[in-house]
Amino acid sequence: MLVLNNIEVKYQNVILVLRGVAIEVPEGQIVSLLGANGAGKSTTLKAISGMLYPEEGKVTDGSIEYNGVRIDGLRTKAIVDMGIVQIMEGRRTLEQLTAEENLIAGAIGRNPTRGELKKDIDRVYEFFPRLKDVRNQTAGYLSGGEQQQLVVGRGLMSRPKLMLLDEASLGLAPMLVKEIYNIIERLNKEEKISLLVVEQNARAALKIADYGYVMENGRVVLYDTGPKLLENEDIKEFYMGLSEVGEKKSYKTIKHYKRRKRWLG
Amino acid sequence: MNTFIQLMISGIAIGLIYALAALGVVIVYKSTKILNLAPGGLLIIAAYLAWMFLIRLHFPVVLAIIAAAVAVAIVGWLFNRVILQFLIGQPILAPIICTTMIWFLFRGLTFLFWGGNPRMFPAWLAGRPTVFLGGVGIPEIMIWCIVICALTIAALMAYFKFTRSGLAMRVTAEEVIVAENLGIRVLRVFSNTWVICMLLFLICAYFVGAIQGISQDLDFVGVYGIIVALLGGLESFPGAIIAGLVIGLVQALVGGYLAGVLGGGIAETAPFIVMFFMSFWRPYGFFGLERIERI
Repeated sequence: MLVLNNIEVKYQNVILVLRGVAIEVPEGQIVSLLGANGAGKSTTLKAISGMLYPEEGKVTDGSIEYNGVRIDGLRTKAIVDMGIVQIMEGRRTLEQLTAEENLIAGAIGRNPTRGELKKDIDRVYEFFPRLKDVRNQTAGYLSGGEQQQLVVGRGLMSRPKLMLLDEASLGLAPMLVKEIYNIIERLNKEEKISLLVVEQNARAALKIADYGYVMENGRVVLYDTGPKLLENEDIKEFYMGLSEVGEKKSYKTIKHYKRRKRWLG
Repeated sequence: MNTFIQLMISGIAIGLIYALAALGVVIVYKSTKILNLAPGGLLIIAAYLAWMFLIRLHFPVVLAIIAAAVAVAIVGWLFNRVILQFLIGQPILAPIICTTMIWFLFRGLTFLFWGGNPRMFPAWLAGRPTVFLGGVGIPEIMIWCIVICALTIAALMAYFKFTRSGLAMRVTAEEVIVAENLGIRVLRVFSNTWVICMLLFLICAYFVGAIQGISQDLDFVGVYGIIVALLGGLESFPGAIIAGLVIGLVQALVGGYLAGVLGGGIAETAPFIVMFFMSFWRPYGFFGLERIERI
């Protein structure tokens, strides 16, 4: 469905952020993209959704194909129309608008009829019942969990076939993270939306993922199926902070040397 | 008492005109973050275009008004597409210098095309009689001005609240990046704001032209528009309307009661004095936008 062929991204024509990133999102699957801060995960998503140019970034090499059509270099509007929507990092609600206006804002790009709009809003409320209760409240005053739901719901309003989800767990309580990811899994199962999920919370992301990629310093260093990555020693060590036995690390037994990563960074 | 009522009504009428001019500045600032210092120049252009269709080209009244609306809309659209679009996101000084220059450029252009002699709107607009309501003489044009300006403001509010392009405008005003991300055509929204801004200036131009005649001096309304927008907080609709009414009333009352004592120029100076003290008391205006912060 979505194929990234060795893309290279530069900001302001000098800063090389992505070097030969190759990722594939098959239809109807959940793919997660892991990595530390600055690994290039968000840049990868922005490259796909065409949101690089506000930051003066560009795909300088390789290609991005969606259902066989090249989409690198297209405007965001065109990409959204094709059915790819990016849920940006950091719960970017439109604070002065009400929750429902936020949802409508997600749909006006494709100019739906009144009936369609009503149906789409109801569909979002079905997935996020909490939003129905707060529909007329100003979005800026919603709680963090509600805002995250609102932002995902707003993305859903554009009727995406592929959703790019950036750090949906950021700053949320573990229970809320679970709730959000349950809904995301339902979106995948019931609405047949393919997902590319960027996460720092490796466990949450890998649990639902069919496939996972690990990024470091702007390139993909490891990829495998979700369950296998969950079992991977390196992932456990570096992303979940577990020692080999699977227990939490203790300062008593800490080793004074670093485990070597078994990949080339 | 009669004088007071007369002054109040003319103050409200003038105040609403300022409010419309200020709203033009405010909507452009909100969505493009460009502080437009050229409303003076744009207003003169609008006034002369309105006059040209009515008098020089002898269009029938309704057609002349529609033609003027279309013409100013095109001016606004071009203005954005050719110049201002490229100033979005630039340091604040760039649009300020650019729009100021454009103000004088447009002023000069009106001299070039229409000459420096003051012009008049036809009698049905400029020559309205004075009506007497319970012994108080009120120029009929003032009443029309209040009614039409109020209706325009209501229509503008409804547009933002109920239509999709209004919503797109509010989204863009709040976060351009999110708007882009949601697939809203941001550049089109910017053009729309300029068109609406020009239409507001056109309405101002009709009434100010009817009250004072058309000349290059009309740009004072634009200057007051900027002041009112700043007083109101630059990002606030109610702020612009209230500030407009305050300035209009101050001007009318000061002109009515103090002009004899302090000289005729005091009416024109009063708004600037208000602005001066306001900048100590609340530098961000009456209704500087409150950013929502959850606690």
